[in-house]
Amino acid sequence: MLKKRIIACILVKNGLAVQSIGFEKYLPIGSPIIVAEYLNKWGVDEIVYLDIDATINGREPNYRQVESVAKACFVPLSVGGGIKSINHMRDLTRCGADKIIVNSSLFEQKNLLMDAASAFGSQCIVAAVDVIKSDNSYLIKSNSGTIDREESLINWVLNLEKLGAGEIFVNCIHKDGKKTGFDIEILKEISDLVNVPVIGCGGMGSPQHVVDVFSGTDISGAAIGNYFNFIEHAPVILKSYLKTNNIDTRIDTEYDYNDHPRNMDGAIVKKDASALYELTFTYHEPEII
Amino acid sequence: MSNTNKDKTVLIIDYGVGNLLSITKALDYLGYSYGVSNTVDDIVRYQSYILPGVGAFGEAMRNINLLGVSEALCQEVKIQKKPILGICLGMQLFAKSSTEDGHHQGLGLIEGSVEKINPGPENLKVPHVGWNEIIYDKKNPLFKNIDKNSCFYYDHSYHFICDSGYKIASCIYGDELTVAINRDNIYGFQFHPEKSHISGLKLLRNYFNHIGKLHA
Repeated sequence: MLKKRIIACILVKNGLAVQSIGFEKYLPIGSPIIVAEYLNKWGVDEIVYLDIDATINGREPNYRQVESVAKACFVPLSVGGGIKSINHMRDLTRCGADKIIVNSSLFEQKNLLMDAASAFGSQCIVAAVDVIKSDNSYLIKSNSGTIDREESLINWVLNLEKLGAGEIFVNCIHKDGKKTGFDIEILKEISDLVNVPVIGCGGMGSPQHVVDVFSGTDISGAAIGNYFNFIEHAPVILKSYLKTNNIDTRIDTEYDYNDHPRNMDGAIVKKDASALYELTFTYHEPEII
Repeated sequence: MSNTNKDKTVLIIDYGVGNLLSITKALDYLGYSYGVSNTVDDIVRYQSYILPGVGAFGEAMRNINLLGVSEALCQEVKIQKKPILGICLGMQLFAKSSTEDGHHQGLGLIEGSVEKINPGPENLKVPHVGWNEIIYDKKNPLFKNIDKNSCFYYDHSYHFICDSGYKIASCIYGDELTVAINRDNIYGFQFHPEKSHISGLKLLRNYFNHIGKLHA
């Protein structure tokens, strides 16, 4: 059976991985290459690399950095930010991008998505849309949240599917960095609407939020940024929690957190003194392939 | 990565679409030497091939035909019996034909056709993207040391339909899809071993060990 995907989002600004809050505030994390290395080791299913200031600075993708990130990961890599032409896409795939994420340029170039899908196949093209909820309606923004778009969200998403997007990546600006959980309402609506996989992004603050979004919607993957950057083994901790909640993800790390005590949100808590006293260290031979 | 002893290394066929870096990186990790090329001379010189693939069937075949290498490649594979591994679209190109965006002729190395994944009554999402378990014959040396529930990464809208005699692994996505094929010296994986983390690297190691023994 197809597993739900746990996708790590690396947001890059000025060449640095950053934490993003509401598309407005950014805190530095460090080198995207190092981030990709540990995410890969900790068993994420896919890495999304988004260069969030390429488009607004009128810059092309940072091919050299993408190549370095690609070299650090043995799971699929999707790359977005600053992509305006088929040539950009071709150069990125040559630098190791497995999938291409397009967003802002689709508003100016109506043929770009169709051309990309016919050149690379739909399965290679992810259309992203940045959504903001205001007064109970959902609006689209582009260019890292700096431009308001007129298009209705539902029509736009249907259009993306029709033009050949292989996946739809929905980033909820109003949830970004809030740690209050995913916007289940809109993710469900979009996922029920289209026949291609939908990835939900924005709002993950605790493992329970991921259980909620996979239980409440039919989305194929949850994209997570900040949570993975501040907790060691965060993807493994999350996947162990999903497993105990009967959500099937790929688990192939040598260790797990299946029997670790947790709080209501699914975050792990300190084991009690007697458990710590019983703790033993074992040596695991590194697996040689 | 050049190697003076070219006939011992594998040739990655570069036909203009696809992510070659993910393959070369996996081969670097496993310690194999390889060449990357698209000329008839190199195809004749090398002793085994990888046909990678991300892209659309029509464009891929058009590129291969423009390069004028399909005849040489088929000759080396069919007559010289040199091993070839097709990955994802690379495997689909082995078929006689595909219905992706019209009708296209493939390389015809394996009797079979490529058709769109059927969403079926469950209304499955297409493309089939993500990690899925594979079902394989435990006795097949290609899957040695690979756990029963191992997942591999898929990203495809079309799938290979062929005689069950060529099928060596499958996965469940609505229907049972053929995801690995083998006919003599011809091997194909629908999933991406180079993107399937540890399980994928193990599988590639097994593949090279296997062809090293069988087709040396």
